Amino acid sequence: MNPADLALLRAEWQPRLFNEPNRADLAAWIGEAGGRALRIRVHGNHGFAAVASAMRAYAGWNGFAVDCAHTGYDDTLSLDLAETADAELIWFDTDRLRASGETNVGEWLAKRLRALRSRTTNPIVTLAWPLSKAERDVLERAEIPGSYVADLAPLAAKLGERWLDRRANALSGTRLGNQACLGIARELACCWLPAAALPPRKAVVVDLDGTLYRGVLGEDGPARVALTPAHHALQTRLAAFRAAGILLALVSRNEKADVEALFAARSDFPLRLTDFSAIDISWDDKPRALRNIAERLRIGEDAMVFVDDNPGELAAAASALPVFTVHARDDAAETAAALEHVSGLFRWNHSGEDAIRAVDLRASELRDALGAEAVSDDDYLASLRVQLTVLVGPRTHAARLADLSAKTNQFNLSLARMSEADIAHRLERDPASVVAIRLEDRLSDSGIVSLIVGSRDATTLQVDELCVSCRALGRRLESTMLTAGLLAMANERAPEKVVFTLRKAPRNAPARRWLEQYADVRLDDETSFVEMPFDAVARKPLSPAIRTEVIR
Amino acid sequence: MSDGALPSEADVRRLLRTVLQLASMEDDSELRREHLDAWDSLKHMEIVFALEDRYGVRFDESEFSALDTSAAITAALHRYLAA
Repeated sequence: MNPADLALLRAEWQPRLFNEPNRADLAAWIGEAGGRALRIRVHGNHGFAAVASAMRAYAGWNGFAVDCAHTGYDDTLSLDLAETADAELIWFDTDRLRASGETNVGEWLAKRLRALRSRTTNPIVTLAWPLSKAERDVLERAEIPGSYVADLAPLAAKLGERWLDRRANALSGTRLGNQACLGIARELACCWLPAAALPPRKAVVVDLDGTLYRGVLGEDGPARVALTPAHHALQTRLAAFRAAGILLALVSRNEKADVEALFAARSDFPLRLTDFSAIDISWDDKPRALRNIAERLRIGEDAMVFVDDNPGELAAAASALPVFTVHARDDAAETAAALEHVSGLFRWNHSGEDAIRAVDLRASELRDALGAEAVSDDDYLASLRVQLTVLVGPRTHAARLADLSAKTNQFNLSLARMSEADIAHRLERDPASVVAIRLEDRLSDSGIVSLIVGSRDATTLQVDELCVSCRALGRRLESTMLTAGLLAMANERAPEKVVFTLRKAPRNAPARRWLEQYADVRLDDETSFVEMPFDAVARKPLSPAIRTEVIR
Repeated sequence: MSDGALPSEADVRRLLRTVLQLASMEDDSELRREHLDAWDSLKHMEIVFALEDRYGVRFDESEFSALDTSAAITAALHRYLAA
């Protein structure tokens, strides 16, 4: 199925998937998932098939397939890891444990999760029910890296008597009812699993007419386009996405002056024009506008979600770019429900960096202006009052560092895609093997923008992962920042050489160009490592205009 | 979500073919669990839930195993929907 047809199929299927789900409808999903299957290993003590079978349509709508490997029913969670997997799923009816006499379910589960963590670095998603607030708190306090506990209570409350079905056990091996299994399948495939195991989406790009309100600005005028309660709720939800660090952008075929007048006039709109980190208002085609938006947001086109009321526009966008499309329905509640279930928008955790992303992006426009005026790099950096903080062994930042490893495409040498558990494991083994770099200037605090993960012996510092957030690129800081990181990692025991691990990917040319210049080498497609004397790193000039602090 | 008309056996066969992912949607012969490898216990669960979702009925647990042919399912649906 070509991308345009898939975009149209997704639009057609939105109501069926995100209104009250119906298993007869879900079975008819015909979309093909083009990418690789996400393989999950299910450790459970009750039937999962009723959930697994319904996940196919939800994952397919999101463009991927799910392959479930069941390890059999096991009330003791003995954790069979014989098969390979990308993620672990704990699927547990805790009442079966209580029935066996266990009184401290939270501690018991935390112990089993720790045992699983010690045996794999895969992300772990736990769906355990019933689970009291106190028991959830025990699991939260256990602070197991890369382990996420879903809250099933809201789904159970919403379904009321339909949550459980005394007849279901005979058919499906679980006492959860059909609607419960469908609801869990939807959340698991669209939100919980992708947030644990797939790259996140970074921006939602919205059309105006028929998307953020009902009506046509050019025909109805600013006062008469209708903000229905559902459109109000949709705008409020978009504002919440922005607060959670997902960038908003606007593309519209309209007159710029009309759009400015609209937002100035409609104080009832929850969204303001300044909430959009990039705006493209023109009569050009939308694929061009979307490319422009991606460039200005400094993100990949596949990290964007495009919402438009015109299926033709969605198909045109999908055929030109790898953007994910959502159909804006006349009932905006349906738009919001679909948007809520786009894989990669849900986040398990919100880091400080999420909250500052939009502010930092706005500051980048001011930095570009300063850069254009500056007579030298040092002059430019001095005007910004740049401060780098090199954090060696940053144990409290493992989640943010995993996020960086997962999200960074342009400035990422090896694309190792380290999970939170991978990083926590490295930190546990040798704290100095992980270095994070925080960046601030007088315009904004960019937070942690770079990660270096390495290992060393007497002679060699091996760099397994090196990445810099796109938000920190273009500030002429890369070499200073990474030199400071490598020197801090080596500390006082300078090795003879540093070896960078490499993998060529479609979008990591900026990182490769930097390494060619930094190590004075030429890379070809097959180069898998680059070696340079550590002396050469130590001799790299550090700009005196940058203040650097190392914290161990 | 019944529209008031009782489902025909062809309607039921169509749903069974969708759930069982059988290639041909045209074949009008009766579908029997004992003749179809794809109709295993997991698919049987999906079929029962899909029928309940599609026709808004709630089968008695004691009947689950008897819903094993398109004809038996059609008869059971008629019984529930007419009640």
